[in-house]
This record gives sequence, structure tokens and C-alpha cells, in this order.
Amino acid sequence: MKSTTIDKFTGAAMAAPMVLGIGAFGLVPFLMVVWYSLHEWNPLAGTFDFSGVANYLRMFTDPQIPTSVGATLGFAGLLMVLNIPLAMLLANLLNTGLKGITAFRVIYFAPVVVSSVAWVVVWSYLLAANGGINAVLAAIGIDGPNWLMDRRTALPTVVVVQVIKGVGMNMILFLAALQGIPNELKEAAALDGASRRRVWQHVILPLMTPTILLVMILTMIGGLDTFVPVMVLTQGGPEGTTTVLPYLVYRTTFQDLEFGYGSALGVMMFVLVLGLTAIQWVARRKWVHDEV
Amino acid sequence: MGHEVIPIRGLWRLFSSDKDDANTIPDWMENDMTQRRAVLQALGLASLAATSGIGLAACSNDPAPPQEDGSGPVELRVAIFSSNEGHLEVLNSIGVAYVAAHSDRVNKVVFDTLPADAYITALQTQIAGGQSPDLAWVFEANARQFVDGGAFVDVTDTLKQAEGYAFDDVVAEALRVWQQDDKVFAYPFSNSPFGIYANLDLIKAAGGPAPRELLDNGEWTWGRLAESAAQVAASDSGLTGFQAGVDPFDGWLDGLGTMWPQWGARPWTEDGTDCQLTSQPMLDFFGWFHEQIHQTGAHAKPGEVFDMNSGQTGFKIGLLSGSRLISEAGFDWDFLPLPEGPAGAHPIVGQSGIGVLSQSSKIEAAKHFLAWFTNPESGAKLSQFFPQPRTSLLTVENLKQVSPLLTDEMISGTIIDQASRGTTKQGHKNLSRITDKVKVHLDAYWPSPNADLAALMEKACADIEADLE
Repeated sequence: MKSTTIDKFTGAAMAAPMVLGIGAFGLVPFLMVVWYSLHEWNPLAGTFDFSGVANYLRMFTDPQIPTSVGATLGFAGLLMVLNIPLAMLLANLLNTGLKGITAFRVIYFAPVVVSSVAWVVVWSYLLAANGGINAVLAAIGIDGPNWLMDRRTALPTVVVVQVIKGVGMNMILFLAALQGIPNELKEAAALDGASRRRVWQHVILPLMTPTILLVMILTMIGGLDTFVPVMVLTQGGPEGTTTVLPYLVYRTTFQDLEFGYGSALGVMMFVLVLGLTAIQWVARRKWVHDEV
Repeated sequence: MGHEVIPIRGLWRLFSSDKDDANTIPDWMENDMTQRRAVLQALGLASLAATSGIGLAACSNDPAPPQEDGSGPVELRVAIFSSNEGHLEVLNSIGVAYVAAHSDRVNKVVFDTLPADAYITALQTQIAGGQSPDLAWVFEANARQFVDGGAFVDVTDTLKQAEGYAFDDVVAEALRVWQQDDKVFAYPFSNSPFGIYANLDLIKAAGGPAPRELLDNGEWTWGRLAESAAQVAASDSGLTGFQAGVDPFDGWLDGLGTMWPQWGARPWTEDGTDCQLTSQPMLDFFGWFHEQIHQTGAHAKPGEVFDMNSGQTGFKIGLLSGSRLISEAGFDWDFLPLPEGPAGAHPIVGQSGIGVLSQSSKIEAAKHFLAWFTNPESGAKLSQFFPQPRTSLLTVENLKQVSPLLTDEMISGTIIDQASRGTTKQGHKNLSRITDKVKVHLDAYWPSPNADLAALMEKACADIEADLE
């Protein structure tokens, strides 16, 4: 159907708040961060001196960068590995018409709407060396680890706290995708003699791939942007194993007062997130249904 | 049917009341283009209206406060980290009195509370955003950052020349951390000695001696405290014997900086240029503290959480202000000076300073107000809540107002004597970077019973060499 002027106006009007919002609160600040990254800026002293690409060159010799990039990729990778299959499993288990199933959906979704800081503070007490989780383990004769202070367990522990917090959102998206698949397709496959496993593998899963792509991208970006649990639970420790890039940017900028270098780290983080998202977007042609 | 990336139809079905009927998806979503168009147009208009509203709101602005250009009185804004009603009442009364006396200079003084847990970050963000307050409170740990970094202006002459200021009454040592080359850049409006809170019920139940008896007998040492603390910890698995004031495994400098001076140790030289973490007194101190974690069990292990006010701790380092909560805890307690170490007694005070920010547009008015805010009369009002660094105000009567729960014995022995002799914890201009780098090495030291401390400290010194300037 040919679009009319009023349709175009309607489209522009609906897009206006988001376009202006992204422009004012996303694009402009980002450009300012790029500008700041080319300067040595100490707001306390009131100095703002152009330094060219010195802040970017410094990253190549900063020993914190390899550790931090490794922690960030490890965090995001582990988050995806744990979160997405668990969300898919929960969505399939909850995709029934059984009486009372809504209560379970609410229970699994509830952590999503809890304040992040409140959620993490509660976990900080549960995960203390003498906290609730180790007390339960001790009751069954297990000497629990020092979850947040041991370099081997700190990062996975923070990831698990995030998985429990966020799995409900992915579960809802998968559940909605499952509910959007027409019964006729499943019934037709069954009539053709397909087993339940083959229906799931060859009918349901392919039709869910667009949603899986969305969930993978959102989860990866969420993992790369993680800040609150690190800030509250580990402050980047022990031995820097949880110093993910967002926390390093915060610490460099607001604690060390290196606004220029902190901005450069922020730009580097943006490039990293953009690059990984682009890879996923390009790779979708290989596995997402209906994509060519 | 096309397949959606965002499963709109599934979401509609999931949240609709009739779960089983696919036809509950509204017609306008599926087919009826006319109705869909009407709905979308209405939403479009609403979006445009909302956008216009936001745009207009963004374009409007409060009139700018008057600047210091000699055209009239100005408004001063003081950034603070307290929202306590009592504090604000006293602060505002000082501000009102100042405006009444100097209405030609200042027409209003606003005390602006920033969130305490992110205070410095919020303050720096305001300064970076061109919205600098005129004056600001600053924690002692950030003193060197603000003084050496040029954030505060020199107020020496303003304070010394202010009428009735009695500059010589100010304890000289209390000003040290706020000075550079004998110039004063901020005033420590709160000057409170660190002491040891003791849960006398726990100590007695564990069979330990009363700490005050040890003090009276000249036996109040870290060694005796650790012995008693180990007894408390051994008496019940839900207790710990001793806690540094701040978790030393999170903040090693804040947590332990009140202790190592009694070993004669310091993390870097007075001028902040040479690392001293490998010095023998510092290695001795860390070795002793490590022993209390892994051998005697006197101190809580890394990652363990205990609460003094819940009666779970035998001894804890604290400030005078902690007495309010501890007095409500329901156990018998005492507040004692920091114990002696191998290098003898070395009192430590905790401070907060107030200074005029160099980014303020009303520096002269702010300096004038600072002199009023810290003069003996204002100091007497402030001492209701904040122990003052003035000899004339360090009296039992004055400090009774700060904490009526403390006995005269505690005030004279733990507060007055210590405040007049105490030094502040060591700071540095690059404190944040230094503490982060050293913490990485200490993270490896704390959990391990057999770590090579000297080697770790060598690495730590190498890492912070560039930051010690």
C-alpha cells in the first residue's frame, strides 16, 4: 500500500522521542567522550589539555588492560553459556497450560524487577565466607569456598548472581517465541510421523532462532556492560580477576581522576561491544531462520 | 506468517487473559489496517506532544545565581556528606548568622547534601560538569588529592587575619594534612581520634582481662588485645575477636593505617616519593596481622562478616561517633585509646576538612564565609557533633555534648589526650591508584597462610613507583 503524507508524519512523530532521546542522551555524550579521550583532564585542578592519541597509545602498555579485557570477555561468555540454555530450559518447562503455571513464571521473572543494588547486597551476605550459603554447605558436611575472595571462584560467582537475576527476562522472551509458533505446524509435523524431539529440533527451534539471536545479543551486551555486581561484591578483586572494563572505566575516571584516559577506555569498550555485536549480526545469516 | 525477532504476538498471548485462544490477538494487530493506522496515528501525536514537552522543559532553565562581580551579594553553596537533621540544623544556623552579619556579601548559604557513599564521585562530577560548589567537605583520605591537585585555594591569610579567629588556638598537627608548604588549604572541622571499642560482656565471658585494667596497669598493647581477642573468637564460632574499623581486605590503607604507626611503619616516606612497604617495621606489622588471621584466629578471615553492634565482635577500631549505635546494642562496652605497639603509642585522628574550591566563581566570598564557619564561636556550635581541633574546645564539657554516653574517663583519656597528640593517616595525591595496585598483591597474601610477604611487597613497590612522585 502506498504510504501517505500523514503516514510519514505519524512514523516520524512516533520515532521522534526515541531519536531525540538517543541523540541527546546517547550520541551527544558519546561524541563528548571521544573528545575527552583526546585530552588530559583533571577537573579538580581545572586542567584540560589536548593530548592527541596519547591516551589510546597508553592502553598498549597498561598492564591492567589484558587482565580487564580477559575478565570482561570471560564474564560475558560465561554469562551467555549459563543464562541462555537455562532460560530456554525454563521456557520449555513453563510452556504448558497447567493450572498454577503462571505462579512459577512470576517466581522466575521476579528477580528481573528487583533493584540491582538490593539484589547484590543480599547476595553479598549470602556469599560471605561465614554467610548463608556456606552455613548450608557446612550443615551437610561441606567446607564451602571463600566465594568472593578466592581468585578461582570470584568471577564465576558474580556471573551466577547475574544469571539468577536476569534469566527471567530471557525466559519470557523464549516463552513468548514458543507461544507464537502456530500449533498447525507442530501438528503437521507430528502427522508426518515426527517424534517430539524431531518436532522440537526441526520445527520449533528453527522458528525460535530470530528470538535466540536477540537474546544472545542482549545477553552479551548486558554481560560486557556489567558494573553493579562487581562494584558491590568484589570491587574488581581478588587480584584483579573481576576488574571488568566498566568497573575499570569507573575507577580510572572517578577514583583516579583520569577523565581523559577513562574516556579512552570507554571508547575502547564501545568498540569492543560494537565489534562483537557486529560479528553476531553478520553470523546470523548462517543459522537464523528466514535470514539470507 | 513472518517470524519476529521480538515475538510480539507471543508476548501478547502470554500476557492476555485467555491463554489458549490464538484469536485473542486483537484484530488491529493482525488485519485491520484502518484501525491499526488510527491507533498508530494517535500514538504518534502523543509521542510528538511528549517530545515537545520534554524539549520545552529542557530549554527552560532556572535563572543563574548571581556571580561575584561586585554587583551585589551572592549565594554560596557548600557540598556536604551528611543528611543528619541535627547536623543540618547547626550548619544552617551558622549560615543564617553569617548572612545576617554580612548581608552585603552573601544573601544565602546553602548546605547541599551529596550521597555519602559516592560523595567524592558526585562532587567531582559536579566540578567536571561546570557546577562546582563554592566550598566542600572532604574526607581526610582525599586531602592530598584536593590540596596537591589544586582543587582547594590557599586560605592561610584569610583565616589568620579574620577578626577573633585565634589561629594559634588550632592544634598545629591537625592542620598538617591540609597544608602545602606551610600554606593552609582547608580546615579540619571534624577532628576525632580513633579508639578501640570493647564488648566487655564477650571479653569477660571468654575469660579475658578487663581492657581498662590493662590500660591502667600500662599493659594496653596490641599483643594483649590480640590474646584477649583470640579468646573471644575461640569461645563461639559465631564471634570474632577483633576487627579493624574498615575491612582491611577491601581497603588496606583505611583498615590498617591506624595500626602500623604503632610499629613505627609507614607505607611511603613523608614526602610521598619512596615506597616503604618493604621496610622491616612494615613487614613486621603485616606479619603480625597475618598471624592474627591464620594462627591465633583473633581477627576475622577475609570474606567473613561480623557486626560489632550485633554483639559479634570483641574489639573494633572506631571513632567517637560510633558510640551512639554501640550504646543501643545492649551490652556493656568501653572506648579506649589505640594500644601501644612495638614502637610505643601513636594516636591517630580521623578528620574531615572544609575548603574553598578553586573552580568556584565566588572565591573571595567563600573564603570569607570559611573564616566565619571555622571561628571559635562557630566551632563551639559545631562541637555538638564534630570534635574541634581547637585547644579551647577540647574540654570534657564540650565533648560531653558530642557523646553524652561516654564517661569523663573515656573523654579525657581516649579523646582529648589523643586528639591533641594524634596524627592523621598517611595520604597521597595518587592515593586511589596506589591503593588499587597494592591491593592486587595483598589479595594474594591474605588468604594464603604461607605467602612470601617480602616478595609481594617488593612487587607492590615496583608497581607504585611511578605513582610516588
